[in-house]
Amino acid sequence: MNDHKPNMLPPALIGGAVAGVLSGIPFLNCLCCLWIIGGAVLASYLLAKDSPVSLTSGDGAIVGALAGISAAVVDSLVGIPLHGLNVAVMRRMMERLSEFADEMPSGWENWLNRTGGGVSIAMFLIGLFISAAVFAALGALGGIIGMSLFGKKKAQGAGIAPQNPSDRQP
Amino acid sequence: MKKGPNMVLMIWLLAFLGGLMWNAALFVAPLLRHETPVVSALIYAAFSPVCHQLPERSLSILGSPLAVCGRCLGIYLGFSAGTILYPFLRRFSRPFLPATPIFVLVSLPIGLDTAGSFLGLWTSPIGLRLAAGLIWGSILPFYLITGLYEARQLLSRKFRLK
Repeated sequence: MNDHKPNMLPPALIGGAVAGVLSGIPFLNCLCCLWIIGGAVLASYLLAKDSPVSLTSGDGAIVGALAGISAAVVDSLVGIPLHGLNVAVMRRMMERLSEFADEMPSGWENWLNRTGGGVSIAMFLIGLFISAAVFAALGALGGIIGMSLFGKKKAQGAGIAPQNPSDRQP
Repeated sequence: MKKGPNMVLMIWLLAFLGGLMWNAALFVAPLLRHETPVVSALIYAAFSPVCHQLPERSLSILGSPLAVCGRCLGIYLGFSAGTILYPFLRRFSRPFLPATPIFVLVSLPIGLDTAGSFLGLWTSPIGLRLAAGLIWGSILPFYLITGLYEARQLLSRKFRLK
């Protein structure tokens, strides 16, 4: 049965690219984790569309997690040219925060000035690793939701595999 | 046959403890802001890719905002509430996905609130965002536990075949 399933990588890359770009652009990222979940739902939809057989929520979890990882890579890459803009947003956020907080950590303005200079490779890789773990978890969730919505195929003939019993209400 | 429910229990435990640690981190970040600012900054940084963290849209403790905004906090707290509800509603038998109409119903509040805010039609208060996130988050463990169970079945079948 697994032989009939399409390759998971192209839908995961497309869903991840869409989610990564949208979550990486300042002002558009106000939807928070919903972009990642949405990208994984898109990956599930694309996988289910090309599949001749019904897919399970397990397929959704795998394609969603892959989409999450590719979203983390795209988000980090998009973040490089937008780094200056992100620092400006961060500065604005810290200034707003200083209105709410009683006292701010000393030297936060210097820290922002230093950060504005560029990103070290080590920090980039650590950030990418953390993003990949978090995005994979959220992506798996989105992929499962997407598969529950799009994964079932109506039986049209003998060649169509029956729907997985675990994906049904009893 | 006994292997199934045990596996569900393990996955549930993973989701429950993961959710608990995730939520604890959200509250620990502002609490450690003054004592250990480096740890606090690391937690804020870890959540920054998945949340805008705007202070005016976040709840705060001791004058500092939580690590995520009100809507995200609702989703994550709802997730933990859902994992607590899970054993009472499903026990640890073979898991199955929630019905689509139920998903649509619980998604309506967060969908409408998010769409309205995104399009600039209204600015909802933090409490409303939190509540909408809470409702939506509570259904998510029912998806995650089923999906992880099925993914494990798929992968073990695949590697056994090879």
